[in-house]
Amino acid sequence: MKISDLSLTNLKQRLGTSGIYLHTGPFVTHLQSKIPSILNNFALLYANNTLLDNEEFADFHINLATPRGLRRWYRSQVMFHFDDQVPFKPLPYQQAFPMMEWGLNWCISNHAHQYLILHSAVVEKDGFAAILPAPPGSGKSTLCAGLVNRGWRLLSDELGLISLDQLELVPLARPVNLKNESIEVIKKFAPQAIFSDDFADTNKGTVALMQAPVTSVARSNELVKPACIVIPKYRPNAATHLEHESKGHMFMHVADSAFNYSLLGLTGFETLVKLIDRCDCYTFTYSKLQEAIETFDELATVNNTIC
Amino acid sequence: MSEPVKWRVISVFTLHWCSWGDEHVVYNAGSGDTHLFNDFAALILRTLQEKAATLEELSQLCATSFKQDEDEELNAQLNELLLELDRLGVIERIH
Amino acid sequence: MTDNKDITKSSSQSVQNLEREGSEPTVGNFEHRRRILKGAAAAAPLMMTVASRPVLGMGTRCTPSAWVSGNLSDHGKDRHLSCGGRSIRYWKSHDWGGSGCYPGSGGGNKWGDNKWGDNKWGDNKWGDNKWGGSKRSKSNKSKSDGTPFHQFSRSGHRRGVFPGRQYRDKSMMEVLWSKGNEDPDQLGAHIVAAYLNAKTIPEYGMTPNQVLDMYNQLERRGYYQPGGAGARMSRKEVVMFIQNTFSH
Repeated sequence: MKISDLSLTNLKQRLGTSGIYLHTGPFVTHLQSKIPSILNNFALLYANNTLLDNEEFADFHINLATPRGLRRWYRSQVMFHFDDQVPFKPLPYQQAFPMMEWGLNWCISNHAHQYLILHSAVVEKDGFAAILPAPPGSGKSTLCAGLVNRGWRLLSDELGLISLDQLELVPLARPVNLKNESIEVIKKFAPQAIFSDDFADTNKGTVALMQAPVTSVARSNELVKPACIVIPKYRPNAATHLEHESKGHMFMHVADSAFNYSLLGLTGFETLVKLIDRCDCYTFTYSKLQEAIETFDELATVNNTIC
Repeated sequence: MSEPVKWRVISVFTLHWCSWGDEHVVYNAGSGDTHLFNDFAALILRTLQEKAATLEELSQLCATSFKQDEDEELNAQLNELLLELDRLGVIERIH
Repeated sequence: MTDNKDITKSSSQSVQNLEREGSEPTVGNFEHRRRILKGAAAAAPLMMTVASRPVLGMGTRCTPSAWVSGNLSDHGKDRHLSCGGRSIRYWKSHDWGGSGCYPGSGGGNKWGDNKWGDNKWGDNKWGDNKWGGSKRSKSNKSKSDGTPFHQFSRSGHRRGVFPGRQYRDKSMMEVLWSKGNEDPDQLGAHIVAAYLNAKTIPEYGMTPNQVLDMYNQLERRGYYQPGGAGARMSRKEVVMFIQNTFSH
């Protein structure tokens, strides 16, 4: 059953009581909330995701709720509950839905240590999978959103999950988090894409979430081996330029940006060696999204031609 | 006359290596740190992993390996490298 | 930029002591000598390091060791996601139940920010030049019977919390309220808040003993070294770290 198979009334009733069990990639999340904006944005952005029976085991139990006391009503806030803990400070009530997304990212990056978890977008086309490891502000999410609206599959915009044994990329296919100017850029670039509300005044500015393409969600059980690692750098007015990066430097860049490289110890080192060994490594500078996509298309085509 | 300082890799720590061309990534299982070294630093570390050596011995090794003069510049760079490796907890003095 | 197209991809090899063709430095011409010494370009480093990061602390730098060695990039660890501690302002005006410490008969809601606190009765109008001594002494007197800050008073009789003599006979509540030269960097106030957090919040990033050790090291050495080794934190850095652990 899909989320869209439930009526909004039914979904509201379930979220507000026993909760729903959501399947995203390898994880099951038990979600509860009575907050209307969670209901509305969740119903929209997760419409194509699978709803599981309530008896399913859940990896994460999360609940977004208003705090007790004055802050329930005055300058109201929302709190993120995870397994009966409250790990973070509250946020303004209006930011409930992005808080859910950020909190779920936190759940995965702090607990899913059966994977090497990179801070990266991951996309795939015709079996050619590219990892885009980059800090916030690099244009990674904008590039990712552009690519998945031009035939590339979305595995993730934020968390690159790599299986330790088979070195395969594991999809999540969750909404893409965009901020500030990039929201309008992608809305113009992909008028058919479905967006959440805009959420203003967050720590990142204004954010909005773009629904993962339905085909990406449908293929969220499909693992793929990585082919290349590309560090994207958005620079206004820059010429589109792809160049090789040395493996040693790429190793250090990815290790530094991974969430759990240290925690995994020698296993993390060995897995990352295998990853770098396997992949072609590049840095990529761009300012024009269409040109960027054409470069990636060419990369995929050339690689598939060689193979 | 006191013996010159000898250096060696801290023996209880296992170093795990992977090299691509002139780049060498090393995971120090003792500290959990990961380092990227160039050929020069890698040669010194490999040597100290096998046996303890003085600055003079390392200087001779570099001069031979890289076919260069054993001069002040080389010694200064070597000394700086050894101090940095010491600070990073990869090597230790034994005298 | 190094061309890696000749590098052999071989993920089936053992990763320990993996070697690639050409990895031994054997070339000896003059240009290569300069490159070896200084790196591929004149300014290239001999080495780079990714330091091991501690795995505890919820990934949001809620412990001192995470603070000193954690990656400073935003990194998906959103800045919203902090450590659950209560602020100085909170402890000035709320009950200290569960901490084993007593705020004083003047502590708590009566003398909180809405009347005597910084946001209304601050130095620019009602400070020392007009009302200072009399109003402050009235409020101070009622805070002074709370748990002493220091373990021993001058007379040697009172039992407080922290070693040393920096804050003389002040109570913990008085130290919370101290300002300016009374409490440089507001270290004392932050330490009190951190201690009360450690005593009352199970998942707080420090234990009470760690807070005591933090203060003790700062007063005796002038810096704090989490775990007794490694990177050091100055007074200001300790204050910043403790502020980072506040959530409201």
